[in-house]
Amino acid sequence: MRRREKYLSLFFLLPSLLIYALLIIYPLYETFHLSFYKFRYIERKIEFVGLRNYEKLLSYELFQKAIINTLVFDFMATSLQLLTGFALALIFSRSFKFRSIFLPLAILPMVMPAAVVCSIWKLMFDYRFGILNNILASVGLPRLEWLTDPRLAMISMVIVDTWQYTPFVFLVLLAGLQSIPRELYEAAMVDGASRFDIFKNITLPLLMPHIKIVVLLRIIDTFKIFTKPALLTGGGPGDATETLTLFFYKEAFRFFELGIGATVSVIMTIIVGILSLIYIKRVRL
Amino acid sequence: MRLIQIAEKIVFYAILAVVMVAILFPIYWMAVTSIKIERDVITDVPVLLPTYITLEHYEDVLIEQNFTRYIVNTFIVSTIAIGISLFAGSLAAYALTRLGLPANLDNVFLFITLLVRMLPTGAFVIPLYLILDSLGLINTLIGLAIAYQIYILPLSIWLLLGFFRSVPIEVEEAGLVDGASRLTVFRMIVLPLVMPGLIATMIVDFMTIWNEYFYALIFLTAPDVMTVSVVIGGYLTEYGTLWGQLCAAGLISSLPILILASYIQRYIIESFGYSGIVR
Repeated sequence: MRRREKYLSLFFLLPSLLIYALLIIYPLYETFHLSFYKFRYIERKIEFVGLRNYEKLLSYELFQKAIINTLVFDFMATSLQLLTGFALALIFSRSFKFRSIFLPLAILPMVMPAAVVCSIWKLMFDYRFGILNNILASVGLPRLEWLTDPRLAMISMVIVDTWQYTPFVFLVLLAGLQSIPRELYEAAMVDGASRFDIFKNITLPLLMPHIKIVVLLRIIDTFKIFTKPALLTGGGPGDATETLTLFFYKEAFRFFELGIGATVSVIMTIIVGILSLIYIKRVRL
Repeated sequence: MRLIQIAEKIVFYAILAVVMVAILFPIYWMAVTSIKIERDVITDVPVLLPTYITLEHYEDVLIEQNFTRYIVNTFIVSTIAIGISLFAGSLAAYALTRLGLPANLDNVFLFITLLVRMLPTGAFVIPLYLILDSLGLINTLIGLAIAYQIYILPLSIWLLLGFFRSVPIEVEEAGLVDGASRLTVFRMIVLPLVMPGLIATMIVDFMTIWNEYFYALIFLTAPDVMTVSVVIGGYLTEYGTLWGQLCAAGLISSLPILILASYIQRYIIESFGYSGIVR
């Protein structure tokens, strides 16, 4: 009976294991493997080059810029989203009229298709007819080149990403806030603690595990940023919003330099791995 | 004291109002732009309420640009992909929660879920492209549905494990005692019991696929097989100033998601909170 159960469970697991092996494990290995080859897919030409892809990429200015841009974006977007998400969670941790109507509305941006989100913001960012510039102009401020000013374009990406993913941070932190026992607050009130003290000594420490996790998830996710620069700026102006995944896409699927593409992936994996490790160590997750 | 409370309430509601406007205005702006005539869009003074309502952009998008076709495409991809992952995923989740496998096998699946979430999206995609190309599956909806297993199978298994654990084991033991086989018990007793969980998983999977852009862009380049995200991306990069049409297409393609999301709203709110792993 026991033996049969064992075989049976293997039979149940087989489809998933097969898919994992074929679509996840093997591609990971093969990506690593391909990073040592020059592989021009259009000509079906493949040639072993050792570490030359790595040398080439790391000394390539656009690639260096993409690394820096991605890290800068990651840092700005994650920090901002933590702030906005936290603020939203604090608002919704109180009870107020129509809370149950506002709550589902507040998470709408997160469930919308990224391409649609980009459309909306491109409309609003438009230099001549966009509502943001129209508002600025109507109060006598200069119009901004949201997507075409190299100093501003990255900030605009951060704004769009924050609009879309604040709800995610919000939901995780709201669950955290709601898991803090009410009695703690009541006891502190009885002891005459000020609001600030309560926030500093109860809310913040008890919410810390949630904050740590959600920040880690945002660090990992924003690192993959692709759709926004691809659709809003194409990486421009110049190289101002060129990010690693966008760079990867162009190399691998526009120029079909698959060896270079694989190398970009490996380097990205290493960076995000190091980033997560440092973070986990730092915050003692 | 009372005055302070009132003042505080006013401040609170003022902040709430600002926040909700910041969240909802962009969506409203898309919706209202999709029914505006050109004169109300191309203007220096924002037109908050359209002076004249038109459905011409919807006509353009749905009839002239054949947008329904892309909606159908996206539905087909979702259906195939979800079919595969629910089939494989529910079997796996059942085995992991019921068949007394060594406990650390759970961790293997958890590990892969985390791995997929953490690694850059490009880490799988080149070999996958080569495999699908050698099978002639580039530019096919089936090919994309297979590629999506990378995202949605780990996601589905992760969600289903939770649902399967919540079904009391006694129910099936009764079935087993009566001499039914494991497969029968699985199909006739367990699956119906986890049905709400299957549906929730299905919807989360659907939302993931419907919104996905990167893989769809890579694996679909022929116009007749594109999914809605790729088509909207195309509108945006190629002729990005036909705002009315763009917004109409955007609204149409957000609708299925908004409807489904409202259906599992409570689940999204709770599950995203407790396991940030989702998505």
